[in-house]
Amino acid sequence: MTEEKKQTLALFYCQQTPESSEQERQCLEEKYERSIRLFPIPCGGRIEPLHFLRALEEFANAAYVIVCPEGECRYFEGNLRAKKRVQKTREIIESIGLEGNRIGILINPRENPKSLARLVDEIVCNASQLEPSRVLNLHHSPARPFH
Amino acid sequence: MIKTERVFMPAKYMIHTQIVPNRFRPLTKSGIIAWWEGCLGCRVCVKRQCVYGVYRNRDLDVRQMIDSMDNQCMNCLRCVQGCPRELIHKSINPEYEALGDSHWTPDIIAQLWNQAETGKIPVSGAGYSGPFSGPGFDSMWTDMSEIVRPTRDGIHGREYISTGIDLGGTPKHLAFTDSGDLESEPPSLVDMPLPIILRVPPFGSLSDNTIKGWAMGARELGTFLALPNEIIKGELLAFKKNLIPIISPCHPLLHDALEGVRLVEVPWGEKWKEITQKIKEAHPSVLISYRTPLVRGVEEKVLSIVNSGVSIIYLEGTSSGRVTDDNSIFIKDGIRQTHLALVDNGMRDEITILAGGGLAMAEHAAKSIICGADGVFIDFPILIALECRMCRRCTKGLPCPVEIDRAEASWVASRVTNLIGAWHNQLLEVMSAMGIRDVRRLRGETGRAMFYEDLDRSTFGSLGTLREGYELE
Amino acid sequence: MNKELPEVVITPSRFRNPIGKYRLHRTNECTGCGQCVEICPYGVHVKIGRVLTKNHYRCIGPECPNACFEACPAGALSLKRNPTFDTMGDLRWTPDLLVSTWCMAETGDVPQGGLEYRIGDSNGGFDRLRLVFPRFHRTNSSPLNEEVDLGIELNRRDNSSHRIRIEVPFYGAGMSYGSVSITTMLSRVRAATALSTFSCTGEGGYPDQLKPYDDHVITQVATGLFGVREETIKRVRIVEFKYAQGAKPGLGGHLLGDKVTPAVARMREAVVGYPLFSPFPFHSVYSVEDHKKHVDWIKAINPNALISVKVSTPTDVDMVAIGSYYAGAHIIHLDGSYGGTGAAPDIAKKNIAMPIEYAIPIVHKFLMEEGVRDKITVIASGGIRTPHDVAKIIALGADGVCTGTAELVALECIRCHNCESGRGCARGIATTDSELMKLIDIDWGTQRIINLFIAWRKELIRILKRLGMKSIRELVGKTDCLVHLDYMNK
Repeated sequence: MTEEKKQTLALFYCQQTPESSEQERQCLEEKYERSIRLFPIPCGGRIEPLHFLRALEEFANAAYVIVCPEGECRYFEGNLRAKKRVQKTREIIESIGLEGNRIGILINPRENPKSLARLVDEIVCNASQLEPSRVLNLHHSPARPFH
Repeated sequence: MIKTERVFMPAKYMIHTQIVPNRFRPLTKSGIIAWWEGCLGCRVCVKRQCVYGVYRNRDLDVRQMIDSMDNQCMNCLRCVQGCPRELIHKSINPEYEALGDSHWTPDIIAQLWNQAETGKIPVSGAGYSGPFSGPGFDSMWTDMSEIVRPTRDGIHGREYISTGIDLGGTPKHLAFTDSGDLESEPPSLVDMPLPIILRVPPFGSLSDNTIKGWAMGARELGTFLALPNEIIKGELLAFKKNLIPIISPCHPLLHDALEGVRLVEVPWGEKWKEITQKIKEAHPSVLISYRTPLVRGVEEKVLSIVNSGVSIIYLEGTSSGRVTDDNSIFIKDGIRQTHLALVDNGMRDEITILAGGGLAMAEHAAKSIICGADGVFIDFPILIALECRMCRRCTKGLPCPVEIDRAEASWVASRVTNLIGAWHNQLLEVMSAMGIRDVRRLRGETGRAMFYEDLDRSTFGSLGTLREGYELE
Repeated sequence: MNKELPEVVITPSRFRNPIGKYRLHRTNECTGCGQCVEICPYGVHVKIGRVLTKNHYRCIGPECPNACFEACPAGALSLKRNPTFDTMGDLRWTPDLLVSTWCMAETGDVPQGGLEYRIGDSNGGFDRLRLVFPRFHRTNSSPLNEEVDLGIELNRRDNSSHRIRIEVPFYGAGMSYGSVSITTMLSRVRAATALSTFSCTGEGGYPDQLKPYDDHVITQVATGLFGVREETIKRVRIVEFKYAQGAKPGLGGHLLGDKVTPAVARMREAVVGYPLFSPFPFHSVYSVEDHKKHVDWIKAINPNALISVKVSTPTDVDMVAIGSYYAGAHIIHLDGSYGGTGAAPDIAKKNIAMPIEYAIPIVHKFLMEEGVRDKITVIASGGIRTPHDVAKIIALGADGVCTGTAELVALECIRCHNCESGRGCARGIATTDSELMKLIDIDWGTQRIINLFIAWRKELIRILKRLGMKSIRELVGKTDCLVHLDYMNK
């Protein structure tokens, strides 16, 4: 029988995000059970529209990227590029009729940057307002075998 | 007329390996950062010039969000150094860095994955890239011989380098009757073609298929799989000849549970004599290995039981290769001390020493034997062979990222065969470099090994000192 | 023999974007005033119409006394560590050592700041040894490069063979044709010729292109006997027997199938595409007496040639050394376990035989006790990366050193460890693939290695002067010039 489809969020985060070790990542996975999927990336700016789109297509109700404060990016402007890409992705999904706010970026504030756990809490809170994505309902089940 | 008989050489022990593809994309070290904003669209783009074709046919594995270019990148940095707008940079993949822990390092895990996939020994270009020395086995070097009695054909040629061992003690002497018949009991031995025994690890997202796959691998290799007695049922019963049931005092031992089994393991604790008796009554020919934690001073304990009919002991260290009651002492020292204590008392051959705990590389098996073990147990490597990342999510109730429980038994078996095949070849490399052609001769050969602490002190301990008015550079 | 020192010619990277430790970022606030161009002593920024940061790699980092990012009136510049830098190299060849060697190969001098160019990060051996200098060395009025003699005699035992003196205490180790390209080989031997030293062919045969440099070539006789013919033995002044190699002792040379190109197959008299194994050991040599037979064989063909014996570092390395001496060798070349290779099993590289830092003192001491130390030249190799490593190993008891990986790094090797696979080195150094080879121009390669050697010379002279020595020979075995950080306070 069809189970309650849990709404999953895809969260990409720059590896430089404070308190974002593997340990902390698993704690968050435990806390939120299967409703979040966390992906550390080498730089926030590595996020591409493709990552967001495939996530939304396969399993995610919404997808976000967490980047470093302005001026703190190790690659200088990864966070700025991420901003532009998020904007671009919004335009793409809006053009196919999906709500633009399913994609988002969280720029860690420069003064008192937040830990991964806090940022995730914020995102989960905001995303809970979203309706289940119509894209996911088109598939039979989110757990297709991958080979 | 001379009668000649056609004699066939006994078949050489060979482990047949083949490529066994991963079920999931592996995590690799590279993280490419390639901006496209500002790209000039050069006619001859550095990406197209990539010798490894990394940017061609890129795709994204959605499950783990792994970009194929990171799996294929070989870190030559030509694209980084060639792009006119400097749009390409490198990073180390944070998921790779997060693998394992300080003992099961990302490089060790990746190397195990590779061996399980290809069955090949890790080979690479350029010289050694690691630290000068390190804790535990990393502080030992093995010897080579400039001029040896070699195998003329190389290690894979027609001559034998034997890696076979016997489990079970050998008596000090044999007694014969006047007519030449053996008077004393013949030694009770179990022989194996290689000195490595598989063991079910303490955690893992395991299913019946996983265990069955390991048992199949053990049978294919001619070794054993040690596993809790309680789980031996159903399809596993067919593999009894290659299983070592681990008896637990709290689980009752059924009467015919050990039918067809050659070797069992009993914890050397309170009830060991009781359990031994029970087993011997029902199955007199079964050999028993007694497991004891490797602690400081364990050699005293071992000496005390040699004379009570114990012929096999298993010294178990922690999963990070240390002695259980002192994190600063490594299993190599515990093994060495036990071996030497038995040698000093003239009892070494009466007992077989098996060792285990945190063995992660083929060299650990070779070095354990050099330190004095007869054979070794490996547990986590056979799990890592199944793409395990040592993330320990299974211990927290989180789903396994590589769904080990859903793997087919035949896939498990061939991955393990590959891994052990690669380890076996590496053991041959080490032995042949030393000019040793029988692993039994390798046992205890510490005279041919080089130890960092000793060499370092004897070489550098008496160098100059920093005197008044001098400075270092 | 060319005794004049060649000149340093500034030879920058062959790539557009050389990699350095730091990178600077310029925002749109830049007004093009050109202040940064003026105050930077290293030419990091340029003004060609606009103001650009062209040479990030020359930046010495936050310690710069004329910091452009502080001086910029628009606050448009910021400095960060280059993240790509930290992904390069390994514990033995750290990113700092790689970039420092590139700097020496470009400028003929050690880096001016911001880089650790003396030690790596292996936490043992060379990296825990330090040279001990008097704090205030005697002021020496002579010019930097004069008066200190870096030359060594290679033949210390007899007059019947060539008397050969090299002007620097190092020569190039064998890297075979097939594992490296002809351009790499030629760059090495041409640089060696310019510095009045030698370079060894390795076991892959003696390419004809090396003929003009015969006087500076050492030909290697290894167990595969690839390309070894009477004619090649006759051409040279030094013949090297390779009994073993540090990185994979007890195992023979191995060239994977993909690297056996038609040219390689021709040179080695083998079949294209099939892997080539040099067996281990010499199947005609099972004893020291057999080794003497080898030496006699060479002497019959080339009576004046010096004989060098290259061995690895087993527990009985002292026996091997003395045996080689008695069999007639002039040079005993010990190759330690951490040396380079084109391809070797990882288990061998890490575990088999001892590092050179241990082997040299053992052999030095033993040969002294046997009374023959001054009749044989002891050459060390296996992980010698910097002039400091050279000084340390000589102080431990070697007469000289063989260089291998350091020369490849000068050609911009990045230690990606992929020499052996497929077409070989993607950067064109350790490959015979016709397309990849074109990545290196021979004059560029030659000058890079010349610059490197000149930088090493300068550094060695500076070290000797600070020790109050006038020749490198004074340093041999002077262990009181060294401390080891772990045993310093006794």
